[in-house]
Amino acid sequence: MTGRKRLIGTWFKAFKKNRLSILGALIVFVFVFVGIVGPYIAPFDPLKANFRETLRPPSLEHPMGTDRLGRDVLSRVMHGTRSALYIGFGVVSLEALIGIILGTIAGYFGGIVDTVIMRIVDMMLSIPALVLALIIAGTSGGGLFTIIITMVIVSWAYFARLMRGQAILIRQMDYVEAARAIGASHGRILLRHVLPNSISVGIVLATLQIPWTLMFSAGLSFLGIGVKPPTPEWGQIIVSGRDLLHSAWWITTFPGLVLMMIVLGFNFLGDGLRDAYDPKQYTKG
Amino acid sequence: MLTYLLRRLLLLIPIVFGVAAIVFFGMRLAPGDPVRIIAGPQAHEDRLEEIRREHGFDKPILVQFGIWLSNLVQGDFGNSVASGVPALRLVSARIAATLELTVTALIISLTLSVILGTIAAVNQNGIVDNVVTFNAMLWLSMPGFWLGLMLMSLLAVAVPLFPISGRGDSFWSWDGIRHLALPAITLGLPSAGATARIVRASLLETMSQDYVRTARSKGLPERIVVTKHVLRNSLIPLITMTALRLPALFGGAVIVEAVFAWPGLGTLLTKAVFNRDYAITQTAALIITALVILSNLLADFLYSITDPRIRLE
Repeated sequence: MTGRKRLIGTWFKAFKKNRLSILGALIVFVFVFVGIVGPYIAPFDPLKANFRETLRPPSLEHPMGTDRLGRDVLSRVMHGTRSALYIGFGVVSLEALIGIILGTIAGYFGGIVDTVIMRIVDMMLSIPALVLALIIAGTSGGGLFTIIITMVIVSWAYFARLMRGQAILIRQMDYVEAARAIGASHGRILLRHVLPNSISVGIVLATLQIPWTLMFSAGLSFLGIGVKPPTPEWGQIIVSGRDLLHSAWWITTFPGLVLMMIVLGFNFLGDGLRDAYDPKQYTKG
Repeated sequence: MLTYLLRRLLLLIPIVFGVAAIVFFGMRLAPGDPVRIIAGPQAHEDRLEEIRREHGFDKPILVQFGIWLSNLVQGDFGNSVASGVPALRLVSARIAATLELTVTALIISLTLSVILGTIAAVNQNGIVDNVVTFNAMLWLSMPGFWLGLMLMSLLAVAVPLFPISGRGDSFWSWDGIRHLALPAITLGLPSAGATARIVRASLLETMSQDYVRTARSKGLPERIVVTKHVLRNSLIPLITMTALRLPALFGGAVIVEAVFAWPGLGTLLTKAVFNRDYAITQTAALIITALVILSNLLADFLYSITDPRIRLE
């Protein structure tokens, strides 16, 4: 137990050294916080039109301006954080679950199971995810639930490929050999040895998949597939300013900046986690 | 070499088959009736039946899939449900536009990333390195469509240097280049950010090699050491990274095409999906996937050209 504690200690120290990853963690924290309380602290109703206040440029009252219907853009962005939170964490935890299970099984057992799973993975990875998502979500008509399922379908293969590699690596370790020698079942070896030793790599990938998911779902909304219009959602808000670029630049600019900041935050955090996890880094000093 | 090529091409068949199946069933199992869209909301039930029979939609899904596949291997990709024109003709008319966009974006991305990655690596941990690394991260964190809208808003609306959208005369004309500039930058910049980081890491790795120390110690100027010894030996991860990003590049093109109304495969596909035009959607998806796989094959050949130790067998 002390060994593990020491490892976590070293790991945390390596993570702390990287100031950008601390910044990233901070941004992610703010994102989650606003996602939870945003709808309660937003200054205006994100859905209520106010025709006396249409297309107001940024001001103290409306820091991000107002849109065509006079709705406060900041409030809409704050409400949109909720769906982004659902999509980001919902999609990534589901795809991680599927990918980890299939990838670990493929890598650990090998043989025909491995071949079948990996052929499917190859297939999924050679169709551009966006094309597949466009087809699946586009034909079924969008909506939050459809978007989440679609994004899980197009991205579980990344986890499967990564976890398979980990499982193959760990399968050859002496402690797995030892566990097998004393008669541990496959289930026990998988749960007690393979999974715990490969999960940190999965966490790093998850951290990097969340921003990808957020950008991807905003891209789908841009194409017209996503959460249905009055519901505030970032991609939707950005698109709604598309025809107003010459007169109301703020509608597109600010929500996009917010999205970029959050993506940046997750990327910094993920990078920090990866560097901290990479054992080569410790020896390099 | 030839047997390698043949084997790779044979391996394509199951992948294309799988993609065909995923796209086919993905569309059929989703709710939404193409017949309704063709016939219009007021059409009589008899007319709907007639259209269904005409297009074979009345048969069981598995039978439809079988018919489609057997037509496919004979080179018949089906006709557009909306216009009756062969889907392959509509799709192949768009390939050039999409390739023009993606290849230009790729060139922008590779040029920028090699230059910036090298500058960053040579000045490791200096101010220049930090600025470049931060910028790379910034670019790869930008949603493509938003970057496109921002560039459009700045360089086409506020300062009208470039046309807002569409494709120009020909690729080699001034007009063509002006139309291509913003979409290609939008598609290339995020990818440049990702690749520049790889170039930097790979260069740093190479710089710690013995042969680089030898080159330096025999008095070669730093410029020669970097370009001849370091850069050449760092290209492999760059190729790997680029090959891995190809699906994202073609996927990103779909969005960039939508932003700038670029008449490529992406705009065709998006419209076909909304119209439930099965034949066009399936054909476009297959062609895009084939483009991705073929470019991957090309990347494999680049491996053996950059590093003669790698043999394709």
